[in-house]
Amino acid sequence: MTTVVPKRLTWLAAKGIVLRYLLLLAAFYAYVLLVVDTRLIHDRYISVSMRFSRTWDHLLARLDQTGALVAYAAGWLHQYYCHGPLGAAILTLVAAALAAGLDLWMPVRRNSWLRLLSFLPAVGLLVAANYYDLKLPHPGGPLLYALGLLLALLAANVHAHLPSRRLHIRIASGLILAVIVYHAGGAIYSVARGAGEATGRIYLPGPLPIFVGLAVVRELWTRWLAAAARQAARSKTQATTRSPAAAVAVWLVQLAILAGAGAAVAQATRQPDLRMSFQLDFCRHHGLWGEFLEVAARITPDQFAHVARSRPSDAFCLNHDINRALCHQGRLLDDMFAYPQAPGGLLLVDRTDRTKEFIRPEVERYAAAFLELGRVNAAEHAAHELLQVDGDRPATLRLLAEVNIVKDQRPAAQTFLGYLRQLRTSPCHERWAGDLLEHYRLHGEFPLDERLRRIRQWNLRDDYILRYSSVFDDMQRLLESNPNNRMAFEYLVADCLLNRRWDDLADQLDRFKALGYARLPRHVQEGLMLYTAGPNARVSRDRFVCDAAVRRTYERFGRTVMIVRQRGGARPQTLRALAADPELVRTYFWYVYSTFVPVEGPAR
Amino acid sequence: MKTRLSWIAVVAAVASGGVAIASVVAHLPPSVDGCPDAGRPPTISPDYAGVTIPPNIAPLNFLIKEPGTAFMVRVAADGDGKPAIEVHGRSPAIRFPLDAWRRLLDRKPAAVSFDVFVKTQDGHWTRYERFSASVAPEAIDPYLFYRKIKPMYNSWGPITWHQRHVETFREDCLLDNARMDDHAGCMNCHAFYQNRPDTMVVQIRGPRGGMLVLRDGKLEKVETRTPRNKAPASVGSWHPSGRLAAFSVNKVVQAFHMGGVEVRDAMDMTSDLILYRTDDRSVFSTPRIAEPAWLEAFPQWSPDGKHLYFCRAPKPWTDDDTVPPEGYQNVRYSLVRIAYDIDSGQWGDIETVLDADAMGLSITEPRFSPDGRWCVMCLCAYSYQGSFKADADLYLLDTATGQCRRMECSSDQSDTWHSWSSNGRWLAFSSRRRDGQFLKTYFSYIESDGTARKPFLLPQEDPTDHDDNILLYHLPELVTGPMPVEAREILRVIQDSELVTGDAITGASRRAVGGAPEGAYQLPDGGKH
Repeated sequence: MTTVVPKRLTWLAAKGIVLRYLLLLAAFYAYVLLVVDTRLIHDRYISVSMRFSRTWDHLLARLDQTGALVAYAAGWLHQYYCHGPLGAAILTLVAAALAAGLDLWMPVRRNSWLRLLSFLPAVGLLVAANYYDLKLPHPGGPLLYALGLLLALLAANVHAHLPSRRLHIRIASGLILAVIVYHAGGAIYSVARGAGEATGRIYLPGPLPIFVGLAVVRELWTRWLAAAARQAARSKTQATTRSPAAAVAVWLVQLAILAGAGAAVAQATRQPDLRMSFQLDFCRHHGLWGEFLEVAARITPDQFAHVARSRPSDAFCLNHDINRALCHQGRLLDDMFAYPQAPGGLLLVDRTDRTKEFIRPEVERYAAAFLELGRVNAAEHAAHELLQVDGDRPATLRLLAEVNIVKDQRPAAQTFLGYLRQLRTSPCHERWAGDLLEHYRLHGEFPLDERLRRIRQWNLRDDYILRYSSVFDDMQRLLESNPNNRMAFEYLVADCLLNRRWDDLADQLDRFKALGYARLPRHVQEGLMLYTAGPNARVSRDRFVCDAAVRRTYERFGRTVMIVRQRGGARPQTLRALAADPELVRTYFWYVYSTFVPVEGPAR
Repeated sequence: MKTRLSWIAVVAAVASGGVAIASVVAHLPPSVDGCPDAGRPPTISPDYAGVTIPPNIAPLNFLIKEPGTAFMVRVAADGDGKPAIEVHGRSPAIRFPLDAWRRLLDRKPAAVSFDVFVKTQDGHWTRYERFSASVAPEAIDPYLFYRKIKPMYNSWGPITWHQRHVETFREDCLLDNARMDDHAGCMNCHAFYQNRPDTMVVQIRGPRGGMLVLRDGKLEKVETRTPRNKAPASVGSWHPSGRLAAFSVNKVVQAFHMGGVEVRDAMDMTSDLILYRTDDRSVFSTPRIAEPAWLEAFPQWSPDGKHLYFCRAPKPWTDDDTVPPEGYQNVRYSLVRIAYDIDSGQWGDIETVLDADAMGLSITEPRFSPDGRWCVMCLCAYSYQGSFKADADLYLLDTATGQCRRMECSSDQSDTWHSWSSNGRWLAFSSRRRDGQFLKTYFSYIESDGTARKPFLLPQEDPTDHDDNILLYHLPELVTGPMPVEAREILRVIQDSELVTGDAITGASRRAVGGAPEGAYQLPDGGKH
């Protein structure tokens, strides 16, 4: 029995298909904009993936490969992910085009249930977006495949809707279209370049096989439908009609099914950890330190432990990022032990020097941190290593431009900015470089924001050749060069705390006053409490003011340890008892106690 | 239907005609007669005002760095009122047509003059003061070989080796390390025999490394390392006979300055000279040019082939592994020479030609003009690598009088890696004068009395390329023709061919090129490398 939808329906039923598209695509757009955030994809892409340039040279260099035009278009569109609303709009439009193309292709367009299938590719795009394009690391990511599918659908629709009834004409025309658009771009170019040069890859997983599949399915489907219609006519089955109210009800049910299925798929494939990781990187690259700490606060101790076990380098990097964010927010010496800490994670140099490996994420991080600390030459060195090993990443070129602006090497800065702009790799970086170059053209100098002005002021003036990098010595040098370098001072104190250099910590007491600290930061107070409790302290407790809260915490910490010991508990039991108190876990006392390695005494 | 089609055709024809007319009008040269003078020369990049150019150079395309909405440049032969070339457009990047430029220079003018006009925002044209470039009668060698790299620290990434036809803008990539199997190859130090492309060497580093030797169009990969001499050869110089080439073998390390403008510093921890004999592909040396207590580098044969010049400094440190070595700031190389008789293999004694202490500077990279009259060197405050030092300048030694002076073409930034043209009238060199960081190739005309005229930057088809290019043009060498071997053959030899070793590779041979030698010796056990 065939269900026939009456031609005269209510407005909702008549325009229902369009309205359904619009509603679902609006939901798609909102999801991509608010939950996925294409800026994170773009940021990740230009940081670690292959580079795409919007230049003609880039296109021409690849035109002898099949699918080059599609790849170029995908890469081109992908670059605009750097604007969140625009990126979401691009994905939504591609999803809409895919849905419309599939819908047009289907031979049963009057069957509203089957038409629901046309949303499948859009759901696929949503899943890919949920994975931040990681599963398809080609320049342009899933867009490449989506555009390829769009081309196949275009060809399949030409095949399906040509008025000619001759099958071979329709197949030939569809094939020719697919070949021309997808493959011939490269072939024509290869021929134009001269014989023997057409060495482009044959890249078959393009739309050709998809088109062939679609054409075959469509033909078989149409024939089957025609046979079914003939059989229905023979059996004289009465077609039923549906009332407008029923049609609306069906429409609403379909909408609910689509929305529900979409939401279920989105929820099932959502990658909160991945998003968190991308968000942290994004905040770090853009100096959004407050937001960074908000995201970092959601990392559970178990997640930290898992990263530390499975990817030690990542754990060090995360540690480093958190410390840098805390420093920028003025909270390093108050809150750093609220997060897991390791000495090598403060500035990463100790770690890298030890391993002698080039670990890109670490080099990238300490290059940026060196610049902010005023070790501008060290930042320049690290950035050049990145440039050699890692290629022309916009962030590296930006760093080198900033280094030269700080050093007042204007022509060199101009060259880096000019190069960054003409790379056509990231519209946001291009705009940044273009604005600076325009300012330079008009005024003969580069504008210095507060950050760069501060770095220039802190820039290391004394020249020496670095033999071995130690955070303490490097920060000392920076402070000798500029005693107002507050960031270097905080890193130096943090290094003292991390390495239990309490004598050196006590030596910094006067510097706190000189640098205008209204009170000693919490962890410093905690460190000094521990130091002065020992027998070899060179300063007494009356040299510093300790907050009542810190004193209370100290006493509570000591009491907890004592209680467990009095009950015969060994170190593991003590650690468990302390870990149960969230306030104690955030203290320097906990760091010292939990990382303490007791020296075994002589056997009794 | 037919009427409608006719109307459409008429409208299309009228529109096409309008577009064609507008296009023609837009390309008509603007009228700039009588426009006001700016009263100063224009700011252009690169600065070609007052330079001396060879008659076979590519068009001097440049960028007008004046604010404006339209630009026009007229070029005329000196003394000729009528412009030979007129270029105008909305872009400040001025590109001269190659054919017209060639016709202009073929008239052998003494100079070419440039008139620059800029249309300002208010729609009026402004004329800038005329500037000109002298045209020397002597041509420059038509090919320039160089390698392109990004500023290199510890790591290296993409390195490419190119030949550029300086009469046009054609640049061919001869070798790209990205195309090597392991992407790990480094290439450096190409040395041509008397500016000829058919006899040369280039060093390849990495797992498939070796010294590529091209002789009479035949390319092979040669092993220059020995058990005692583990470092690969670098910085070579061909003997005028073409049967012998001298190289240095160095252990160069880098150290990094934490303050100041230049980050890098290079130290030659230990170095010797070796000689490569082409007939049996053997490597040998003599204690006089391979002394453990001395650093020896930058060999250069005198044009008559009777002396091997090189740079030498006492090594103040004994520990070759500590970086930076002790007293590295005091290492200054002197220019010395040693006599050599290629037929007998007889070595003479070392004579000091230029004493570093007397100069107060370190002398590196000596290069003789083809007639032997001049020797151009790179001098800097200390050490080895002039390209890392802003104070590195080119100096000219008059071999007839022994007088040495700073060349006029030097700048306040690093000037280094120079090469003579085959006629001895042109000097190509690398300089960081443009932005203090990126080495670019400059040419300077050398007068008969040794005076160097204002140098000019190697012209590029797109003049904005000078401003947006972070690649260094390293080791520019002027050559009389193109590389006779194709790029794919060079790559094949590197990738697929075995290293060729000579029968006397240990240096034990006592045979000289032309007969029984004296002085050729086996490097002592426990040698420096």
